[in-house]
Order: sequence, then structure tokens, then C-alpha cells
Amino acid sequence: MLKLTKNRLAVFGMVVVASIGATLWLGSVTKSATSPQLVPIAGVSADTLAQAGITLQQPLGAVPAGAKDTAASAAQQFAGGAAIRDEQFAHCVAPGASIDEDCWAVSLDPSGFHANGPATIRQATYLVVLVDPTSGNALIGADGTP
Amino acid sequence: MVCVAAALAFAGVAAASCNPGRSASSGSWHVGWSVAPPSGTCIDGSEANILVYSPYVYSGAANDTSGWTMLVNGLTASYGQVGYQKRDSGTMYNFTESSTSGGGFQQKLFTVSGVGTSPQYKITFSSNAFHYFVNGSNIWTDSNTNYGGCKAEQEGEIGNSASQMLGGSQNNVVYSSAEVRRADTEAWYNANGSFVNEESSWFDYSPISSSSFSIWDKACLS
Repeated sequence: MLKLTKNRLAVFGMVVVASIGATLWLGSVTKSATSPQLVPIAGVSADTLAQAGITLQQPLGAVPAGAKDTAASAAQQFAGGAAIRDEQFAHCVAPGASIDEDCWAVSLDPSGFHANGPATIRQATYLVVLVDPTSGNALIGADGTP
Repeated sequence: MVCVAAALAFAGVAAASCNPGRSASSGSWHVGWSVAPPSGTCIDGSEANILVYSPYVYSGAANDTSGWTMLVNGLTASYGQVGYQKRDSGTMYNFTESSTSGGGFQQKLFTVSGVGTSPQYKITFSSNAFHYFVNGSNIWTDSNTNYGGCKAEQEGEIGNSASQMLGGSQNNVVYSSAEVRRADTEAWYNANGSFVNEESSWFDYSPISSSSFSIWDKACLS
């Protein structure tokens, strides 16, 4: 009777361990399935961009041929000639402006961009311009500091 | 034809800019009005039609001239604002800007409304988010804020003493249909604020009505 109980306990223990393992594995699979893969861009972290309401995810479509330079020029013109730090083709999501499309994200030198608010003047540490790959027009510029 | 000519002339006046001839110094100077909350409640909305004017902007660091409407906490300086700005590069934008919970700011830049037009710039605060509108369109929403303020401001601002404030003495920049919203009833009413002029030797203002005023740079005619 005692031996049987020990066996039952051993089986129960194995079941518990297996369940925990399966739960952890399923959790990791679920997380990787629901969290979009982000596209890094020089000059600003994904966390800072997310705080500003923008995420750059893996593009849904192919990179448009020959459009990179055009997008860079459009972003630079929009930003008043600021120097370019990086340019990535990504799926750009900015719910605040109803942007949810593949676009060019261009990171630029934020020197001179600053807050207009009531506190002491604060310089921007990032400047990103999103460019529509079809029209070649800037969708929005975002600058700031966390 | 006459209308087209008149429109062009109007746009030309609004586009006029002049160097006020002041020495350069970075800072922040305002003219316009500030609106205190009514008794027992906060202001959670601020709107005005602002003439889009293209001023002279001194070429230097941290430098632009802007006109906006704003919600602000006078103690913590947390805020949200929407309006237009001209940078020293000559580029003009419609913009939104919110303070962040980390003490920073987040600004969004959009294609400016036409110089010489008077778009409505509106900000509201609800559900812990700033909602920004230009001519009735919701152009941006910022939910990452630490806002808990009560008052409104509707002003022009220069970021360098050598830059021109919006407007000239013969070509004022008018803020019209200026209203604020009570947080308790969500009713809009004429802003009728208290005037602010942080450098009266440089700027001037003129009250027009309880929902309208104009501002200008005293060194400039147009």
C-alpha cells in the first residue's frame, strides 16, 4: 500500500513537471507568435518610439525598388535639411494618426529640434520621419526626448 | 479674378516677415492670453482659429516661432499643445506636443496649413489622453502623458529674441473663435482670457472680443 502510494506520488510529480514545462513552452511560443518583430533604426530605441506612439515592424511587402533615395530626400526636405542617420523599410504603425502601412522610416539628426512647452527648453534626442512609399510624401515627423 | 487677386494679396500679407533687429539670445517669450479654470472644475479643452503667418526666424540653435493653443498644469508644467511653427530652416509645420511621464516631450510634425488661412487648432483631454485636431480632423492622440492640469493658454511664442513674433503692427495675427471647455459639463465657452505679454517692448496685443484677440511684433509693420 505504501509502495503504491510512493509510485503514485512519483507519477504525479512527473505529470506536474511535464505540465510546467509544457506551459512554459506554450507561453514562449504564444509570445513569439503575438509580439511583432520590430525593425531597429539608428538614433532612437524601439521603446522610445513606442512611448511616442510609433512602432516599426517587419514589412508586409517587398522593399520597393529604387525608392530608398527618393524617400530619404523627402524626409530630409520635410525635416529642413537635417542629416540622415538611418533609413529602414518597415511596417509603420502609429495609431494616433491612423498610420498602419509599409513605409520608409528615416532617422535624422535632431539638432535644433526642441520642446515648445512651458518648461526649460529641452532638446530633442531623436527625429524620425515616416514616408509613404507610393506617394513619396512624408506622413508625419516625430521628435522628442523620453 | 478679383477674388483670386485678393486671396493672393491676403496670402502675401500673411507671408510677410521682417527682421526685428534684436540681438540674439535663446529663450522663450510669449504673448497672448491665459485662461484660468472656472470655479469647481477644470478646463479640459482649448481651441482657436489662428492665422497662419510666416515670420522671420533667426538662424540659430533651438529656434522657432510658433502659435498654438494649449492645456497646461501650472505647477508641474505638464502640458499638451497644438498649433503651427516656423523653424530657422524656413520649414513650417502644424505640430502637436505633449509632455511625457519621464519629464521629456513628444512632438509630432505635419504639413502646415496654408499661409494666410486660419485653421482651427483644438486640443481636448479625456480618458487620460490628449486629442489633437486641425480643422476638425483628429491628427494625433497622445496617451503617454502625466497630465493633470486645469488651465489653458492661447499664445504666440519665439524661441530666440532675434526672431519675429507672429504678426506686424499693420498685419496682426488674429486668434478667433477662441473657446475653452469645462471638464464637468463639457460645454465650450468663450475663452476671454487674461492677457500675457512677456516682453512688452517687443510685442503687443489687442483684445477684439471675448473670443478673439490679435498679436504682433512691434518692430514690424507687416
